[in-house]
Amino acid sequence: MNRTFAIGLARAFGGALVFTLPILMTLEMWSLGAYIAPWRLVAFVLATIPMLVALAHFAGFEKTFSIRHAAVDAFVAIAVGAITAAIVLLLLGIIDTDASSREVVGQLTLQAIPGSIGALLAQSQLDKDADAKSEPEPGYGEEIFLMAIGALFLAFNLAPTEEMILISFKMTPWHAIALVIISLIVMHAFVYSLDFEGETSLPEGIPGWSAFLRFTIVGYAVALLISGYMLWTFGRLDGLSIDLMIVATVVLSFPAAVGAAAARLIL
Amino acid sequence: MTSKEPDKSSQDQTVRNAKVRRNDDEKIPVLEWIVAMVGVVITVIILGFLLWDATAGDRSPPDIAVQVDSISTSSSASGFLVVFHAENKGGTTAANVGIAAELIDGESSVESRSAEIDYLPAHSTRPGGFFFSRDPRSYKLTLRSSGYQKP
Repeated sequence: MNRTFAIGLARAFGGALVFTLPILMTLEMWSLGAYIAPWRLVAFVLATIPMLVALAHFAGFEKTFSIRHAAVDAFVAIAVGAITAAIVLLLLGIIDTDASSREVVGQLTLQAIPGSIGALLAQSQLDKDADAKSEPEPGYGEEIFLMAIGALFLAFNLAPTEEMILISFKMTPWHAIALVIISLIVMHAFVYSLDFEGETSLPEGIPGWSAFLRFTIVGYAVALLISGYMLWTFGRLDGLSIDLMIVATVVLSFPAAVGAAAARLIL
Repeated sequence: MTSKEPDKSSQDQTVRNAKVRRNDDEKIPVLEWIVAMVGVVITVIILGFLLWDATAGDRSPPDIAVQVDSISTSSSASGFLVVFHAENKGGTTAANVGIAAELIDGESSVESRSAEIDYLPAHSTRPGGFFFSRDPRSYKLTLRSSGYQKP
């Protein structure tokens, strides 16, 4: 039992590293810890915890059947994420004695979140076979939840960067309209490929528009909401006019939509 | 992967029934359709707004107004602080916006400062500050934008 847990923990650290190194080594994430509005950070953490518990329930590094178990797994994942972030940021000389305590706490809190998602995902990523036989088929709610995780994950890598708003400043509304349409097409290609993969009975059954409405459009709306929320949390929408807020959200929704659609294939 | 709906029946039954259940739209829970409609509404609102913006939106060049928000009454380590905000009233985003501030005594300039704002998006404001060594209250203070770049 302890050995299983130790192996799971090692996997969790591996997952946290794989998933957070790009974020840990992003310039904007270092200063974000210092200038993020404290109550936005608190709201973000509070929103993250139930999400991690749900994720632990679906893909934890121990087989979890009860909510209590899932909650324990979620907090283990948070510890793994925070420790990974602390070690890497110290190692790279980003956290040093010049930094204020508020800055360090803000940085570690923020960076622990993608780390804990990575820790939980490590199980389904690195240990697919073990999962396959015991895991029940995902229901509709679960599928949308997994899409949200995928969207959150890719959005987290990109939302803090200056490029998101810079791109939206360079784009005209026509570019944005084209991007919405392309995002939907790319998403539907993923949804379509999943619906027909190994499901020989489906092609005659479901009309294309049904999968489009229930998965593609819903997944895209989820990507939009998550992108908007991430940009707002990271202060990227502050002082922008409404039209630029929407364009910036559409920009981030492109990778978020790809993440959402791919999550159904990968997770 | 046989089913997208929550399913209380056993795995085997799910597989056997998959075709039948998928063929029959009545079996898709109403909640799923409601969620789908919410998704449609969100996407249509975003697209509609972008279309409106593309056809009727403001594309005018940057028009930058700089206004003083506050002037500190006492000198700190860095001098007297003048807090300002720059507003872009135009429909195009400006980058590397130069802001110039001057203290004028009669006809001659006694002190000048400059600051730069990374991005000043269309119809948006950005705050900033200047430090003067002399008390700005004793002079005429002027603030204006000196120029910008296209992002």
